Amino acid sequence: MRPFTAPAITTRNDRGVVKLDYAFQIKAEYDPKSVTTTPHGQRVYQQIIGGTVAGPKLTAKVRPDSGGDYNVIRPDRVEDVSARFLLDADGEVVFVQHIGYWRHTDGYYRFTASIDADQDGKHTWMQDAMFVGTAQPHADGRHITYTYYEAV
Amino acid sequence: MSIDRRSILVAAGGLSAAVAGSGAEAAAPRGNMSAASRGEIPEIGLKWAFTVIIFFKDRYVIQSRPTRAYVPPHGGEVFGPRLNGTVVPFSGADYARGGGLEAHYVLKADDGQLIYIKNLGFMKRIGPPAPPAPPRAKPAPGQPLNQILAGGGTPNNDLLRMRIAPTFDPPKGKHEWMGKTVFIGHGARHIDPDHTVFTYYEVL
Repeated sequence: MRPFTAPAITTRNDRGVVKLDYAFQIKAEYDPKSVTTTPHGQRVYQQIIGGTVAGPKLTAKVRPDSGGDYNVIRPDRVEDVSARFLLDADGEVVFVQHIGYWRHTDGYYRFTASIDADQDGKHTWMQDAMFVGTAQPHADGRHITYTYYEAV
Repeated sequence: MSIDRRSILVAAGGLSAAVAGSGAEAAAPRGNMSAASRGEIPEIGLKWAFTVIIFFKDRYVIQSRPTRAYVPPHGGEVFGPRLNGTVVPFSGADYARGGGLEAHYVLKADDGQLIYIKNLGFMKRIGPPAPPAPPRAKPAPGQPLNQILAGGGTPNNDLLRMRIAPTFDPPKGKHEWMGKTVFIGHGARHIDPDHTVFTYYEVL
């Protein structure tokens, strides 16, 4: 490793502030899970078939059959969360992506969400926003409620 | 992992959950919590995990479409309640694509373990629109940018918003939790010397 001596700075203890603003909630509906065994673990594919989006920052619908969850259950019983799907919002299309963890050990299910919207549309602000979310999977395995907070 | 209720910040009903930049590790919940307590809006919170300070010097921009940057770390340090160590010098770079952060580095914890970090995020101006920038020549191919050019002037962190969604690949053992915990990061740019202060919060 290359040697390095840090220069003197005055910013060492400037702790940045992040606020979480409640943005919206998605009640998503899925097809049954399909599980395949891969070298990384169990790949769980679940197609999204609908849902509603409501909250102070967004009202929309989940576009049926626009993608879903592509999670991997790791050997340590943590599910690497990976979801992609579309929303229909006021005639515009919005892309949603989740990256996070669902720990089967204690039920912790959190993710960061990035969102793409039209450059000159009503939801352009979401392009340059970052969201943190929590998920509540329902016992039937077919419904998940996602709650999104904007990290401002 | 158990969640300490006192450290949970509630964001509900359009109110913000804030993590103070100094002082208390986590503030008490504020505002109207009725939506959360009725279970409609789940509770979520942030807790300071560690700070990473990275020192930069030169940077290059490949004039592709979109552009691709190369901003290597000359070194840095990691400190905080959950992790202490250093940033391995030249262990990667911010290979930023068209303005979005796309950084890969290796951290070395103080127990000698190496932890890979992938730092994805954005930096944008907030507040009033920027005054028109003076025209500047694009650097010739292969020509490095300096710290001012890259930041578009002396950074004013009150007008910059840099947010990071990092992921970590830690080895098995005491740092394992970093590979199954969601983090959100805050970045602040500084010059003379050229460095960025990244503050990482564990999403509870």
